[in-house]
Amino acid sequence: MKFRKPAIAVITLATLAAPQFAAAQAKEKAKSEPIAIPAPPPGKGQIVFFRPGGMGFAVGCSVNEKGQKVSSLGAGKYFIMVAEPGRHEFSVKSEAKDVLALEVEADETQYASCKIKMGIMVGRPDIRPATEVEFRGTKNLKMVDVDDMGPGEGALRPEQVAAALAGPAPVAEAPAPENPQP
Amino acid sequence: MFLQIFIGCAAIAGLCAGPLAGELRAAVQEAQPPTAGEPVRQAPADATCEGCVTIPALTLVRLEILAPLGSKVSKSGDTFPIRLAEPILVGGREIIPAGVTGMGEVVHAKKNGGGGGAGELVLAARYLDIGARRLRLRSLRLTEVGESRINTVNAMNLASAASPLPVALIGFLIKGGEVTVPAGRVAEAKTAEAFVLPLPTPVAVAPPVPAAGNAPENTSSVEGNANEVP
Repeated sequence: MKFRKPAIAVITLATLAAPQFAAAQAKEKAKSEPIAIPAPPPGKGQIVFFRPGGMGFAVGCSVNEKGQKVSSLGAGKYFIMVAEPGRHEFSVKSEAKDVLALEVEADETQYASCKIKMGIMVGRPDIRPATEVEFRGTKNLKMVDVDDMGPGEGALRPEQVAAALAGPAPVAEAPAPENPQP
Repeated sequence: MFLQIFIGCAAIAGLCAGPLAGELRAAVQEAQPPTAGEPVRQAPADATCEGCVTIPALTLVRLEILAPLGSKVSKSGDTFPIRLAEPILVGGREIIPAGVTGMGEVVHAKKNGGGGGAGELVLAARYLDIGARRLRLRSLRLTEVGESRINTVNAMNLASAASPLPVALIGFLIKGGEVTVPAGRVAEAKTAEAFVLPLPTPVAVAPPVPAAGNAPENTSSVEGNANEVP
């Protein structure tokens, strides 16, 4: 009888705390899980644009190609753009314009990052080539909201990314055979 | 009678003239060498070619950059010479020797700038000249960015908020690092297409001198097509 009350209290506490603990664990797991980037569609390439958080969070970094908005890129956000192989030129603009040209290769993923550097009145976005290591090393990145994406077929929408990830086995970069027979 | 035969012949000749002329035109066009301005036409890959070897698409190649490049000195659209640093092997056999030259292109070059902005350089390998043909290349792994000092400048700006002096203005004078690619730098790329070419001539081995005089004539130890690599 003496031990009954404390035992009930412990069980009640454990029952109440369990879902909270599980939710916290799930959140932590979701945080630590790496962002899944699908392989580009066969014959096409893709670029992952991302922007680490930090200074200049209030300044936008709107990525454009040929005068058309691909997507805005807020602090701590990323988006994926599927593109035809070849040279692509992207620009970002505030009080100064910055341009980045990339060679998109079929079946390959490239990375580009945007940072806000010092300006006279407002910060200036600086777009530059990046690597997957830099992308993976940037913590707490989230996909750009659909509202911030351009009107055209630029940035992949979340449902398109989900479909690409759930679709047939992605056509990964085919490794070159080492010693194929003639 | 003769008139009917004549009309028949004329009709047949008329019907045949069109396709024949087309074939002739195509043959003449094929026989003409490409002019200076025209790109070299790629010979069609002959899957049934005996004694030929195919370099598969996406074969890794190591290239040497023959000209110094940099975010400060290069401009977008510039071309630069490249050389095959290591031979291309297929089945352990050297198909294209090291030293074959080709061309690369500067896709993007940007000088470093104020506010800690770093220099940028994006390069692409375009092709290797294999005789009169071009082996197209892709996926040159050489995209470089100089040391960015944007974070340093931003930290200075934050610190200057507490200072009565306009320390932040110094940030405009701080530049990021430049990118320099010296001549002789080796980088990896891939072949962009399957490339069929005749097997290179193997080293001739002197046949043993027959003891009797009944040895067959025109004996060759080399099998298949022994054409040289164009």
